[in-house]
Amino acid sequence: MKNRHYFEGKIQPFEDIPLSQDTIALYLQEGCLEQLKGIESSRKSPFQVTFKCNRCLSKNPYHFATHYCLRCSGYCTYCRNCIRMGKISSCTQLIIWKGPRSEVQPESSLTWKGTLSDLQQQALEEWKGSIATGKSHMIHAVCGAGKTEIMFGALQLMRSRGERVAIACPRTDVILELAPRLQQAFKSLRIDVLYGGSEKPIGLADLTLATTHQLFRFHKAFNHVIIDEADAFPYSADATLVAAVEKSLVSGGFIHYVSATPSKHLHTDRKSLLAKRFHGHPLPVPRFQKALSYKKHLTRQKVPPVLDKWIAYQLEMERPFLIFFPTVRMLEDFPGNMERVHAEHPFRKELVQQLRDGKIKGLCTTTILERGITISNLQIAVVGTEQPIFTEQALIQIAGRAGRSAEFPTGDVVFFHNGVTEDMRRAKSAIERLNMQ
Amino acid sequence: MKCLLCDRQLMRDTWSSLFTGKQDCVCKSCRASFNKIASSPERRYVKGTELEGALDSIFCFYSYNSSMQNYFQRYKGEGDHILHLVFSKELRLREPCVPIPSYQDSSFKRSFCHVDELFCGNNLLHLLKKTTSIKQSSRNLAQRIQSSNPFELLPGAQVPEKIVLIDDIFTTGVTMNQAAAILKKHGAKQVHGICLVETLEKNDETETRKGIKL
Repeated sequence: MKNRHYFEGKIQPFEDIPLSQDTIALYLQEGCLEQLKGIESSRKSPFQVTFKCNRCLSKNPYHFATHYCLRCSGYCTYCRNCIRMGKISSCTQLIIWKGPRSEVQPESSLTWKGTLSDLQQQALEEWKGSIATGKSHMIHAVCGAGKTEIMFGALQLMRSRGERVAIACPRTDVILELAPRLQQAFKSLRIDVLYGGSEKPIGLADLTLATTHQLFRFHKAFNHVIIDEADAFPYSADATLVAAVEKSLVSGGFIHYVSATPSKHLHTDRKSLLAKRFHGHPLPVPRFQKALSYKKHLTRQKVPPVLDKWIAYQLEMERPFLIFFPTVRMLEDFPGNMERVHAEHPFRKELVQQLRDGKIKGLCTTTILERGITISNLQIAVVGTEQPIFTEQALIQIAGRAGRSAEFPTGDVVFFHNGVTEDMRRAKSAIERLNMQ
Repeated sequence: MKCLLCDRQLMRDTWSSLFTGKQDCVCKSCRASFNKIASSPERRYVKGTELEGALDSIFCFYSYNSSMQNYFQRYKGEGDHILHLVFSKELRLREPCVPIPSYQDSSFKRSFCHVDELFCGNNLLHLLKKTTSIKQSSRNLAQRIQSSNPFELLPGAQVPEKIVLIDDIFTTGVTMNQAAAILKKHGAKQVHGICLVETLEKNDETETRKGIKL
């Protein structure tokens, strides 16, 4: 069928398909397509109706709202969870592909010419073994171990077996950083990069790189989904995202995880651990520094003296530095004219690039920059580390920003706090434990 | 309850909210991000044209800023209907009011009529009909002023003497004045306008205004 690429692997509303209504109706009659109701409702008791969105599979009653719909002249329920990708309401018809799947041409097209370290090679072999025997795999690699390079090898194997792969990550920043590296490594492949506000390409690409939210759009499309940084918010906190990943897999597909800080609820058949960075140097161990009245100083528009000293030292040594804050409010109120970035900052990418190029000396940020950033010789300070937003995983990731290049394998990581928390202690001991191995 | 705009958990229900039913549907920081002005903006654009004086007065509640832009993007653009609750408590008027209609097809596409829903809970009088599908936001100022009146009176509508016109966004005032002119032609004596948002006037009048992209 010549129009198969419009439908295969996707779940999309009737109106979004760029074909005429008659053509779609014909395909529906032939049985190649199936029509689903956008929102399914079921009545549990005379007073209680539950809804389910067929695109994002959410069942949370907070995600649904009902209003009088002019389109169908009746009361319609719509899903607020995935409304950013277009409204799905009761009168929307979702179209999925039911016909045969197209064959993927088995080919190996890795154009990356680097070499892996022994540890990386070993992890890759283990992962390849899992793929060959049909098992899901987790790569637990410390920050800066070279996870992406290991991924290249695994992707090549999956491609040569004629299987479809998607790489998903909860963070757009990580996707944007990964995309050019992946395209560089697989020059001949069509790689679709999907994130909020990106273009919607037609058909399935050879490789799909998407935020986990964008996987809502897929239905039985991939044999493998590799989830990078699976412990990051919002994937860790949103059950519908987990369901979306499962929905995007063909039956019998596999979810692989690649993470520096895997949380306990991620289950795979096999695991491999990379405890050393690619340059072989140990991870920088964070040090705790008391800043007992930092809140008082900040409310009085003063920089806490210990932090002031630390910044002055970094400026003197001419090293780039990042200061993490627990809240956007505290970030905005921080005295001085240092550049600051948070989730809603329009020029986040540009500022990080400026820091990398040495155009700005330091940057204030929230946990948004905790992962996916590689800047040579970066120094790290965390203010208010005792706040609950800095979990063990977040702190390990933050500490992992330092000493990532072979040229400068060490870096200063300071946690300014007014009381050591369990998370801080666990993060530190986890890093020390990895260094011992 | 969660905040409708940022999904953060709202304050726990208090005894007073339980009895009075008064609980805001958005959190304090979202509410504070809107810039309340409660002003009567003056527009010189319609001066000297036949529309001058069609509208007797105009009142706006908020000024247009980035969070308001975000709000309209979600409410009008994405069609998140429940967001009409965010301002519905403030938009209670005593008199019956006449909403500025949108073109039938566009409200059909959105599946609800955004001005009507924004002012829900009021006594709405549907008197007007829009005959073109062209959006004001796609035109510049000169085009807006020169444009022919897109409104028509609905057949069989009874026009009262005093009328309150309502709309969501007030930019140049051309739309409001056009609607008011039609109503005055058919027997209205006083036409007052009420809008949720006014976009701030640029000093340079000759500059082509792009309006609000939604």
